[in-house]
Parts: sequence; C-alpha cells; structure tokens
Amino acid sequence: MPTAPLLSPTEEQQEETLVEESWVTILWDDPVNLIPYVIYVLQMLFAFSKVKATELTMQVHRDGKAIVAAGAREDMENNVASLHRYGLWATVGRA
Amino acid sequence: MKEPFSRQGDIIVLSLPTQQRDVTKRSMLLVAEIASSGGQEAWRLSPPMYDDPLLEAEEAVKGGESEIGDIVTRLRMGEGMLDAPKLSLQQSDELATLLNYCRLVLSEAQTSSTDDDKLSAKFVEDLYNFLGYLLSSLLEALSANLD
Repeated sequence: MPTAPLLSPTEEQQEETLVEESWVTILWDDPVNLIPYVIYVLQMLFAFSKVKATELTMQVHRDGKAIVAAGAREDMENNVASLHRYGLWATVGRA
Repeated sequence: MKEPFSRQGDIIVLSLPTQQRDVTKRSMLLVAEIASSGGQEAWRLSPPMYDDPLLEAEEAVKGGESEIGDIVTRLRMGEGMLDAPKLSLQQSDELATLLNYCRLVLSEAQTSSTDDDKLSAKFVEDLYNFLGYLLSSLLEALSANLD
C-alpha cells in the first residue's frame, strides 16, 4: 500500500512556520484619520522608515487597504489591538 | 499666527490660547460622555478585530475587557494635559490619540445628524475641523525627528 512520504523535521518545521505566518494585519482606509497621523502611527508601532510608512499610507488611501504585517495569528491580533488603540481601522485576515 | 504646538528637543510646548484650550477640553469631555452613554457614534472607538464574520464571532465569544471604558477614562484624564505648558513625547502621543478619538466620534455624529439639527451639525463640523487643525500641528511637532 502506498504511503505518504514522511516529512523530514526540517520540512515539518517549515510547514509549521508557513501555518504560523499565514495571517496578516490589514489597515483599512478611513476618511477621518489624517494622512500624517497614519504615517506617524505606522512609524511608532512598526518602526517603519518615513518612506515606507508613507508608501503604505498612500496605498491604503489609493486602494482602500494595505497589508502592514504578516505572521502568526497572535502577533497579528496584537498588531490590530495596537492600531485600534490609536483609532486606526485594522483587522486580522488570512494571508 | 503661532502654531499651537512646537517642539523643543524631546519636549512639546503648548501655545494654545485660553479659549481654544477650553474648547478642546470640552470636546474631550463631550466625546467621553457620548462614549460612556453607549451612543452609536462611539462605535469607531472599538472596531472589529476580524473582517471575517465567523472569526469575529469567535472573538466576540472570547469576550474581553471593554475598550470603550478605558477610552472614556483616558479622555477624562487627558483634558488635564492641556493645562500643562509642556508635554513629554509620550504625553503628546497620548494627546494626539485622544484628539483623533474625538474626531472619529464627531465624524460619526455628523453623519447621524438630521435636517432638524442644522445648528448642532454646524457646531460639530466646526469642532471636527478645529480638532483636525490642532492634531495636524501636534503631529508636525511629534514627527519632526522621525525619519
């Protein structure tokens, strides 16, 4: 009877990592939050450079949303809670 | 006209005229009152964690502490910051957040106002714009050293 190939420990670890990182933090467009405020919050929370924070903010403004982080579910929930504390509209989503 | 907020090293200096200071303090207390009374205008202060309704339902089942209660407390305490001539960067960050909360709630109040409430709607709009002006000035001061 054919059996499924066993994953080596390294491959198992890789798979686990993939599962852990299959969540994202999505920042949504909001007409109330000022653009400089969003840039400031992204710099403070994620330590993004001004250029990176501005690019992401403009992507949110233009496309309605942007992914600002990816990783384990719990980390993404923490990100979203932090963004909510600043009054930004963010959600956790599947990658 | 002098900017309401300016930066001196790691300190933010407040140059708010008394009348503007009073209006800002009253705005914070007004928003705290709206939020504590469970008004619909405050929903933006506690948005959903997930955009997927099933995952959000799971999150709701988990429960957790009320974010609104914490925000109301911070707004009530935050108005006192406006009496200080200078603020640390951490205090200024908190003030910026509180001003943004006010704008979020006032924006919802604008949306929900009726035609019979024109005077009130104009007042809310003026307040919203004024707080936007203050927040812009504070952000410019706060962001001065961020690359």
